[in-house]
Amino acid sequence: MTSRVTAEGLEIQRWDEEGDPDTDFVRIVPDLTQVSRTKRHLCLERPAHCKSVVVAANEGPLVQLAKSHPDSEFNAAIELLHAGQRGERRDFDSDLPTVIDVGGFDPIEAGVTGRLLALPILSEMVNSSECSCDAPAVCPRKRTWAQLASESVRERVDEVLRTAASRGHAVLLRELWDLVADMATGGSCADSPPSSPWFYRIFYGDSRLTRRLRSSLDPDLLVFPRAEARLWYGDWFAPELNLATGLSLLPTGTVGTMTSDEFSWLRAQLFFLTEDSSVGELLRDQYDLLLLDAVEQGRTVEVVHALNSYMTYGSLRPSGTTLYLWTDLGVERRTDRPRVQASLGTVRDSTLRLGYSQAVLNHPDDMEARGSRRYLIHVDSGTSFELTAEAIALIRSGRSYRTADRAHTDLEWSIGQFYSGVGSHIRTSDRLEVAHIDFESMSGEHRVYNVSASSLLIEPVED
Amino acid sequence: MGSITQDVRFLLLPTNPFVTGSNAGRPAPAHVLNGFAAADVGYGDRGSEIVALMRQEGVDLSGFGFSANARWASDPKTLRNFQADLVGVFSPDGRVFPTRGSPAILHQSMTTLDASDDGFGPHLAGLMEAATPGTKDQLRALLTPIEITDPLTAMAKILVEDTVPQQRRSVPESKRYWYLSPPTKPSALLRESIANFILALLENHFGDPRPAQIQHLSRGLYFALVVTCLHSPVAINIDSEIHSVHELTPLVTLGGLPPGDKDHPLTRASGASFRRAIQGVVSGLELTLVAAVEAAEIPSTTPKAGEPSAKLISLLADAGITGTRAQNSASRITDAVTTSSRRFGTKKWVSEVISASHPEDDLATGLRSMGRKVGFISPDRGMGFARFGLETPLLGTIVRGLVPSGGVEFESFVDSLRRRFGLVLGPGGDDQLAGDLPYWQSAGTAREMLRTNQESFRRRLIRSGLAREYSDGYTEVTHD
Repeated sequence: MTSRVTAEGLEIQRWDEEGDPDTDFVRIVPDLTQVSRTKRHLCLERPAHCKSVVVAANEGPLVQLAKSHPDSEFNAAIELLHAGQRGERRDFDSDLPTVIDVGGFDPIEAGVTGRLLALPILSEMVNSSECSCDAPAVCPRKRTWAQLASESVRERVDEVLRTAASRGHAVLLRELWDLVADMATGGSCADSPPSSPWFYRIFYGDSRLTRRLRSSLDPDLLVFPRAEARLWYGDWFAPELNLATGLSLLPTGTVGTMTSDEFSWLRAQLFFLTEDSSVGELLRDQYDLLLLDAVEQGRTVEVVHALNSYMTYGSLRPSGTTLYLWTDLGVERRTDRPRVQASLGTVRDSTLRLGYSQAVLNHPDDMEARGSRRYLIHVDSGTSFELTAEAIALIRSGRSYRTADRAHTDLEWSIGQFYSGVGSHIRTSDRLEVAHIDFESMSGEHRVYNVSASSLLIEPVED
Repeated sequence: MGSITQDVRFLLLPTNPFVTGSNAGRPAPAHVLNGFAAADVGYGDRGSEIVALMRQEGVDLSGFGFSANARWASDPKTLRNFQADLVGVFSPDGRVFPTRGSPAILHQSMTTLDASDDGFGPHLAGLMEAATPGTKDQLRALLTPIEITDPLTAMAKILVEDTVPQQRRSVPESKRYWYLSPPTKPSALLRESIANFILALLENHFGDPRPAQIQHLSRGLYFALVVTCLHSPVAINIDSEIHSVHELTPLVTLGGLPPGDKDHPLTRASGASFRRAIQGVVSGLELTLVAAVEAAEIPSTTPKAGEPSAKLISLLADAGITGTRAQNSASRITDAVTTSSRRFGTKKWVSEVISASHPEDDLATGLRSMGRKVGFISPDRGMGFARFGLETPLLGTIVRGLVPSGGVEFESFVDSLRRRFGLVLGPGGDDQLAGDLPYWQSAGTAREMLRTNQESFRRRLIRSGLAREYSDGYTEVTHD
């Protein structure tokens, strides 16, 4: 029996323990995978005095249980989990379990890095770490770590990582921990310039996230027109540096004879310490985040506009208020994609919404925790299209008419699945839209027909 | 192909109709689906009228019901635009020509009589009927919409009005078609695999709109055809107990995006497996011809000297080739054989005939051309050696044809591809597989390669939305 208790005074019991039969308790299953397969379905049973059951489960075993027990809470949990992954939110239902999708949680958006860097225990660890420096007062790692006490600096760190995460796969908690570990312990104070300061580790460290950041963001391209001359001439307190209140730069090198590495080191530091808002803009310029911004801010019209433009190769004036469900009946893989698109129908932008996956489902306090996936959702059908970072970048770049560009084949396949789902739901058949694209001139023609199978009507619609 | 390709194909057809002809690149997916439907649910005049409407200048619309309300058609430009739209919508792959062709058949009455499928469509229909009787109903249900729920189907319905196909396309009858009564266990396994795959595409609609369902059927039917062309020559000639089609010829298939890096050991293995498959086809065709010659009945009135020709003519008659046409074919075949191997019917004779009619390089070119059409074999000619891969749309079709509702565990799916089609994408649940494949220096390398390929395949399925990965590494293939 355990002596652990919750804040409410309830005892905590492991599911395989026997407690006091007269005491209220919370039952926990620390890992469903560790429970024998034949007993897993019993984990949610509530004996007398059991006020709640908490199960930590991997999705695989949970899916298996849901399949073998379709009327169980396991199945309800899987349905909630998948609804959350698709970005659906539901009203609280006390008959259903509360689901927390740890794997779907977006640590970047939640500013986890900034919060980790603010932990006193981490600061203590850095300050007590051994290095080649004569004293803590001259240790570049320890001196610069103090800069992270500033909230604005930590926010800048979060902003940089958010930008890095806008491309490629979702960032995992594990990757963030690795980054923070590298920031705190990586590099050497003896290098010239020192490779141990946290800001240097972010751009030039050894973590996976650092490599990913550097692959698409060149810190040397981050220029500070008004501040750079001040840096070069060692004017560390110049107002042009616009440092956040209470912060100061740690100098390096010799004024006037700085190496390019030393200057990059200083610029990396300035990047995080300056309050100049143009730095954020500079970052966004490097990443071409226009469509991503639209998604982030829920601007459906811009996403609809981008999809319409993509599917018609940018050859027609795209609508932002009507999504055309463009498709073609092509089967063969030829050198070029089909030059004609036909629409399965259209839907208004008001029937679509932009949403995120949800990491907490069916919480009694209606708690919302944003997941890492972004979706365009057709509300009535529940069909969704995942706007991955890669998809957004491809949509922005424009559709390639050559089938050898397979990234576009994959994207049009995913868009096609979404359009099929929406088309199956709306079931409209009275208007056929046709788009012809001339790949040589990249110009297009759009024609519309009113059609009625019951009255054998085909009527071209005049512009 | 060789100059006697078509002649020899006639000799082989009564046993195995899944042999490529002199222009293997001609049959396209639209043709095969059209031929399949024309044999199964029939064709009528309306299909060819629609072809004419699409492609002929100054076409007469009076035969179409919609013309009564189509004053706009008197304007030549509007009519031309309308025709161009019909071509764009219903012939996206360019398989409709001014006087014939195969449109994308969104209604059974759009079916045409078009021999461009080289007879493969009707034979696939025959295979289906033999293996899973009653599939005509499913095809008819798919191609005869009761409720119109999308504008493409609405347009098709207006074009066909209430016409009904009157005739069924037929192929020469032969009791020896292997799919009627599979002569060996492997051929029975192949027949079941192919038929059940097509049946799944016919029966299960997976929530797709009709146009997408028909698109998947067309792609799947053609993929099934290529697989059958690759395996059937071997399957009908080896009577051993097999549990998986890959035991005939393992087709090492790239799990990542095709065509892959040509220097990668996996890609090279895939290329080697393609060449090996072609060699298997050649050997299979030789055995088929040997058996056909041995079984040929010579008319009792035939003089001894005329025996070889008489045998060939008798064989050709089985394929419906008679009279002067048969005599000319027989002469061409006889002339193609050198003096040293003129002893009719010997293995040497057969080998020389097949070398002349279906040389390896030509067969490879033909089957590559077919496989490329649905993204099964790549890259395009002149871009490197042929290899097996699965382009994403084909992957989507295969998932629809193999995966039951509710999904299937990833490794089982890999096993399924191997058992049903001979596609080797990874070890799946078979730990011994690596040791059986001759494409790598050691079983250890083979295991590593297969595991790497399987992982690439898993990632691709997830990326394409055809599989879900759970937090503990469990992956489920699904078409939901």
